Amino acid sequence: MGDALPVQLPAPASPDPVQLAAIAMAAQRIVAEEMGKTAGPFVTRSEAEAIARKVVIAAFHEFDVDLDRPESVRAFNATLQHAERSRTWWDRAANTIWSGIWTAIAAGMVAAFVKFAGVSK
Amino acid sequence: MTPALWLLRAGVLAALAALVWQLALWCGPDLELRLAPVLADQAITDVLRDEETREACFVWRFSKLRAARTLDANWTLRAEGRIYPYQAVRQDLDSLGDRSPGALIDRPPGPGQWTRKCIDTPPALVGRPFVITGFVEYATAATGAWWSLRQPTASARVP
Repeated sequence: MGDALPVQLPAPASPDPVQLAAIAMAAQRIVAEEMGKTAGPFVTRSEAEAIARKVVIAAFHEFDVDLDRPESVRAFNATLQHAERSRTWWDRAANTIWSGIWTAIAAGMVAAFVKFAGVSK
Repeated sequence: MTPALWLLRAGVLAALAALVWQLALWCGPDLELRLAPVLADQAITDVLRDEETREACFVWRFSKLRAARTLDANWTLRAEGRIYPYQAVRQDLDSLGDRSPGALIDRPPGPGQWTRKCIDTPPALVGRPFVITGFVEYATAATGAWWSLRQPTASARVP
């Protein structure tokens, strides 16, 4: 009792492809194990739901999203919103460039018409 | 809306403006020549061939509709699919009075102007029919700063 020893946790390693592959394999293994734990030869509705939930949570763990932690979900939503804003920006930039290209083509066609209309009279 | 997006739009607009300006320079003279020519009521009359001097004399009649500076002018003979450019041209009478031959003059706008010219026929065209064509290149008061206007004169068939 008393003083808790200060525990120095190692810094978490950044995810690398090998780890992500390991997580995916773990998800597959979880499915297989959970299927084996079912009571009967067939998976009941509640068992299937539990397996699906476990697998979904494990899969989201691959992206550092913990669906059981609300703050992690909020962070994930913030990331999605940022991506959406970013996509809107790129949409607008692309629209601007495409508008410019089509306007240039239209202007060139009008100019060619003005240049050559009535030449062969 | 971020500054980068406004910058992109400004860049696209600037590029479009430059393109439209270049296209205007390209097709502007044609449009102006069709909508607002400098010369009108053109005709070549009183064509006379002199076999002795090998000259073909003609009167070019025209109205000048607006102010324009003359940059270039030339007459060309055409016969059987080939041209005979740069023949010597002698200035005869002119509605402006005396004028030095070969000089580019800036005529004032006005109707009913005329000039009589005599053009040398090359030996290949002696005794054969040909067509007289010509052009005048103008820098008009309105658009001369941007482009020049090359208007063909009337043409005449010389039998």
